[in-house]
Amino acid sequence: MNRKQAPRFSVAAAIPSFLILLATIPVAVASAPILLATDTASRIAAAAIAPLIYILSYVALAGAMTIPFQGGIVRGKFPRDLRHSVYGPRRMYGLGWGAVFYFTPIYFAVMSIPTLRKAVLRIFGYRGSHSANIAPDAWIRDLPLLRLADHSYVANKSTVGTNMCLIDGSILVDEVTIGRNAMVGHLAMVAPGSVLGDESELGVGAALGVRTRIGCRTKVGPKSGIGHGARIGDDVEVGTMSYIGIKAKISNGVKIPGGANIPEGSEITCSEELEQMIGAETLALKKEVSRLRMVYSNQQDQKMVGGM
Amino acid sequence: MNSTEIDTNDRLREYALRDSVERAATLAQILAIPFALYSVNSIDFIRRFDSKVSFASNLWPRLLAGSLPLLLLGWFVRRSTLGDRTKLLVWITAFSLILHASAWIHIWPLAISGAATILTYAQPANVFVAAIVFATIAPPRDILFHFTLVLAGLFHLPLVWIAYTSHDSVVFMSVLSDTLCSLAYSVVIGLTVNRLRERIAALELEKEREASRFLGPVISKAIFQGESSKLESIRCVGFVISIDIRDSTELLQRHGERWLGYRKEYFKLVCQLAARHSGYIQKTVGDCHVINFGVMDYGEDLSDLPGIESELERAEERRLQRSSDHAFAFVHDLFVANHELSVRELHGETVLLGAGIDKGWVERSVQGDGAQNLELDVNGNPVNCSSRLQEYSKELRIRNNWLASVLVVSPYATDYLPHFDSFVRLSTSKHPVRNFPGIRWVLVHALDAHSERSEPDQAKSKCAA
Repeated sequence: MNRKQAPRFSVAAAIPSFLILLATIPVAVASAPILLATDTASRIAAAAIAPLIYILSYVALAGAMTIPFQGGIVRGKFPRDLRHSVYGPRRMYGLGWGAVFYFTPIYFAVMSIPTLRKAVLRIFGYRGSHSANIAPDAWIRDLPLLRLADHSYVANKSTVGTNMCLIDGSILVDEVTIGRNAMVGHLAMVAPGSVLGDESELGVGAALGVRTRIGCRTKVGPKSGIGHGARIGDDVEVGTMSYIGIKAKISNGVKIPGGANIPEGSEITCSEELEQMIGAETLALKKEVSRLRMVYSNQQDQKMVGGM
Repeated sequence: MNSTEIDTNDRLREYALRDSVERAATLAQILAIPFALYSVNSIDFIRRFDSKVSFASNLWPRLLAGSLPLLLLGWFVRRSTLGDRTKLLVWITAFSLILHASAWIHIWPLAISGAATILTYAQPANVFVAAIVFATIAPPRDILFHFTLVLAGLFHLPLVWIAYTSHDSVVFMSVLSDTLCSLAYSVVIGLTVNRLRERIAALELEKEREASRFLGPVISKAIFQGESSKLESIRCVGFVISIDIRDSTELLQRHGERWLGYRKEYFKLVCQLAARHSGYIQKTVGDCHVINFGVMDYGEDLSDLPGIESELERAEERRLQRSSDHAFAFVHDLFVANHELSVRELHGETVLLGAGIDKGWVERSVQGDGAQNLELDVNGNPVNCSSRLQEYSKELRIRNNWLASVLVVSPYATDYLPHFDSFVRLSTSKHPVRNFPGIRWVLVHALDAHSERSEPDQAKSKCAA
């Protein structure tokens, strides 16, 4: 864990000041040309470019105000306490980023103009590839910890979760790496510490748990769940709506059928092992069904005898 | 291009960029010195064109607009967290602007006001600087064009323009041809040096690959592919096997060169079987191997996540089951394969092995002194215990006069055995295990020298005797 000492200030007091500055300065900067214009034509021209000036000053200010707090965007587990030396700066960073991210027209404009997108992401500490495609409504945060490789794709409404709040009142923060030409599908979720390998695909609605590793050219089917700490090799196919348990290991080239349930801690090195596992589960289920049928029919018989 | 080739190309590019950035930072700091010297020795030729120029008016502006920014540029490039490609582009932009600013100190203003010949005094330095920049930095091919464009656009183009506006055709042609030639051969020098650097980078990558063979997959991945989590200290439960060749001194004396040939093959066999069964050879001492299972591939530590304790327990059970299966399968396969190997290499003579296996808490960590030698090692009670059990196997063999490879299993390592059919339970009350008096019994598995498979009955009868 890389702790930095927070500057001695009250985050709770800084938040309103931050927001006031963000609400007022860009307005002042954008309206200055209009107010200073001397004739009608200039005023009209100034008014026409005022939105652009507003956007640029807003994102520049929001970004610049988060720069002192980018040192708080580090990996680790921290209590959710504004007075904490890491969580406090995180909150301030989040405020600045949120101010841009949740201001949809501005964020859309930023993400649509390549040069502006590059500059804004850089200001907020992003060091990944700028040829990565990020949908405007994909959730991203903690940009210093976001590692998107060349031509990766993060689809709309997906979540690249570099942080995760835990039930014990803490927050877990870690890097997320999306490989070259890899894809995070619509509504998919990636938890902190996960790595999606080059040319791999996370299907619609699928979820990667904390610290999972997916190899290269691997496809995770729609609505599948990959448990925390799982390791999936290269060229693997995980079928639709499958579940790979916590700390399971799937070796290269294995094809997992749809609806499979790989228990936690399992290791599948080849398709034969997988068939045996699924076969054993199916057999166990069939036995249980037969047992329940027998119990039920015995109960029915006893009722009939009782009735007589 | 397959992904291995893409990875190799990426890494070569990475090396080349990182190298260029390092050299750019150093060059900026070194060039601050000649720029400072130039602020002193340029006064002489400037005064030929304007005698009123004072020493101070040439010195201080050149130091502040030339030397100091160059020092800051070098510092910035080293410390900045920007990407390497961006750093190089920032460097050339800043450097071109510094040259541009320095040229405005007396020289260009004098050229504009009619003393165009002054440009011919400054031109050699410009040519020299361009050549040095390209030769030293040798930017990678994909940004060479931008590099050249920025330098030409921010410095050489204004210079040529000023020469043109001076209305002195001789000076203009001289400056133009010098500029074009210097840019052209600077680019060629840069390309040549870059090609050399790529070859050096390829050689370094090749060295990494060679080193990886000796470091093994775990350490080489950790060092060369940045998977530093593999070198982090962890504590976990694992299986440790200690295995040794019996009577190796005697065998060496008896067989001489043939023994060395067998030993080489035996070591290869141990490596191959350990890899096949997901084991890790943590130490080799003489003929003895210490191998762990379930430690190096332990996986992620998820103990900081609340609410998944029961799932983690089940995952841990499966992991230990798997490690147990691997460990025992490894020993059995090694015993069988070794018997075949020794018969083949030593003309019918069987070489016997002794092994001990224990399970318990171990710690994987990097130990040693960074200046001398570092080692990724696994330590803990099971390492010592397995070694004592391996020695105990020797005692058992001698005491009972067995002609068999013997495996002694500690009670703690038996939890995940599916059955004990091929083992015999022996009490250690009369002959305790050295340093481990708490071990009251052990399981013993003997692979007879003349059998290809273990014979539980033979082992039982041997043990009963």
